[in-house]
Amino acid sequence: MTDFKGGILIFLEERNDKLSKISLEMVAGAFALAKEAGCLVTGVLIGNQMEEAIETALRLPINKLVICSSGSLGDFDSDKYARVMEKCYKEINPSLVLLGSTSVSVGIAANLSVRLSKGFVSDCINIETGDEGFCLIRPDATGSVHQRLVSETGESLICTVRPGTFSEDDLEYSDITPEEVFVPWEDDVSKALELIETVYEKKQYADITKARVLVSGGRGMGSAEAFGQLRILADLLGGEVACSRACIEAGWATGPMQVGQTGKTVHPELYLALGISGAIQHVTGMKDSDLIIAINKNPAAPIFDVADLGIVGNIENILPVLIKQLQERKGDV
Amino acid sequence: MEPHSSIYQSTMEIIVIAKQVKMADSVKCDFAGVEAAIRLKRKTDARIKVVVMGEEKDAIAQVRDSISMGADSGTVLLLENAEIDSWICAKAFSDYLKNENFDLLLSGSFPIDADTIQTGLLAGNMLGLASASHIEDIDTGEASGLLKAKKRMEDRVQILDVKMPCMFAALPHPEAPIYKTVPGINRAYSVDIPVIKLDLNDQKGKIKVMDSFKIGERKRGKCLTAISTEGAAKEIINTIAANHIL
Ligand SMILES: Cc1cc2nc3c(=O)[nH]c(=O)nc-3n(C[C@H](O)[C@H](O)[C@H](O)COP(=O)(O)OP(=O)(O)OC[C@H]3O[C@@H](n4cnc5c(N)ncnc54)[C@H](O)[C@@H]3O)c2cc1C
Repeated sequence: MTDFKGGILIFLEERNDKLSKISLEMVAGAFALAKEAGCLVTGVLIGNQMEEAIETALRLPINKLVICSSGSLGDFDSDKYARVMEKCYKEINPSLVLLGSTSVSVGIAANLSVRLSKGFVSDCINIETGDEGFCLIRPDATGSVHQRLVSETGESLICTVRPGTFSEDDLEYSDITPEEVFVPWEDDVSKALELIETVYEKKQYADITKARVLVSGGRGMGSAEAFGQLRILADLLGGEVACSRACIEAGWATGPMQVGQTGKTVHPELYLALGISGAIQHVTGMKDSDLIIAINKNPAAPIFDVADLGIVGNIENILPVLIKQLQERKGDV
Repeated sequence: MEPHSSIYQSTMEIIVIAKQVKMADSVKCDFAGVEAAIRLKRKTDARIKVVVMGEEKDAIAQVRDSISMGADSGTVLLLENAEIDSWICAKAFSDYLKNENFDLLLSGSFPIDADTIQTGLLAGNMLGLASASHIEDIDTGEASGLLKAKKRMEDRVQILDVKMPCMFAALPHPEAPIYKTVPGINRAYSVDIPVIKLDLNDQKGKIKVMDSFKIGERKRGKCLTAISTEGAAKEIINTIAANHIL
């Protein structure tokens, strides 16, 4: 059964009065899908103090913008957000609901799925239109195989989309202002969760999906100290430091730096892989980088199968020389 | 029916759920939930029960491992077909948990590793529990019946006060593994581990797999073997410069 007529409903994530990158990516993706399917796109924006976010959202290529603004909402309470989404869903009856694969949205998606008794597919890496409606694509447990999923019942699906699936660069801002709909928030006293404090840790968690250049270390870095050297290289190249899961396990790096199936999907202009073997679960997250350069001492390391330039050698020797040559070069110009 | 909390007078009741995922030649176990439970148990008086869904042999092994690490008891929900819709899994967990007494329900947080971010959160929501994902640390709250949880987000950390009973999807702490202990291992082999057979034949799923395909391959480029250190560094810099990145 092909049915797109309900269109696509997108939860637009707002952070500090700005639309998050994943929201813009989802709109870019939904716009292309809606064109293929000939359906409408509705965005939902929930939160408080969102003047700037609303201004941006009104320029997006969507047909309708639902705004729910209230001082008492907080993104830590997925139940409250899901209730607003439920209202929108029942108004619109979409064929597909999109949310970002983020710490905020995954809870809202699960809650909404139960409220509506609709299927929930997390962490999609692509969406297509097909004979059976929208097809959601996501890696299986091994990471080497992708599955194409559709609704079993012909009903709509709720899906979280992994950052980097669609490109913000494809977004065309529109001159046609979407229809604005305001949904009031009826506050109730269910206070199962309360926010006590928010701590921002900006510096530590640079968004590796946004970096032009990623210097990525693996277990082959050998130690926390050696791993720390990657920062110098990243600064010289104007990039950020990323890593394989082995480095998280070793305690050299933190979760948001991980690339791969259970980490982030990245496509920088340059991905420099140092001491990374190239396990399929890692490669899944970085193989679409424009230029991949790998250093590994094992000539049989699978990372060389995806590298544009591979260097078989010891990082302990190469890294200091590479840093030195780059510093000299910077001094030159 | 809502699950009833014991609003712990003395001992907090924790249930950890985990669904196993079958891989080509192994089974993916998720210990993030039980590790979070054990970390909390180190701070307060608590009892931990693990409920593992999977095939008999592997699921019993995971329960034993969990008890060896510090959990108190465990049950297996026997799944004959591991390739099952996460909605059906969550429903099976929530049906089982309806009749259980607990203050805190825990699962892991990695979406693909063990599928539990969906299954756990879905089960929590099916039970009508206040639920939160990406929980990095749990402490007892200011008042009884409250927990203080640290939620790790992309750009910040939120500290939440949460009323029990509640459900958390816990983040793993690979940098601080919890090891099995000798008394734990002894207990793991002396306790009885009930195996409950799930009858899911007439359960209808929400999602079907149309097809699967191998991910696209990338072409191998130039690979330099016998090259001097200086030569290697120069080659890298030239390649980067030729691509207009420097
Ligand atoms: C379900 C699942 C999900 C996973 N998700 C992810 C994920 O998202 N991201 C991820 O990265 N992994 C993931 N993994 C783990 C993955 O399978 C690998 O174990 C991991 O990527 C290995 O990391 P590594 O390459 O740094 O370490 P290793 O595989 O140990 O490789 C280290 C490499 O360094 C080289 N080396 C050592 N010393 C030197 C030296 N001095 N100079 C040069 N080279 C040297 C070695 O030759 C070797 O190739 C997942 C696994 C599973 C099962």
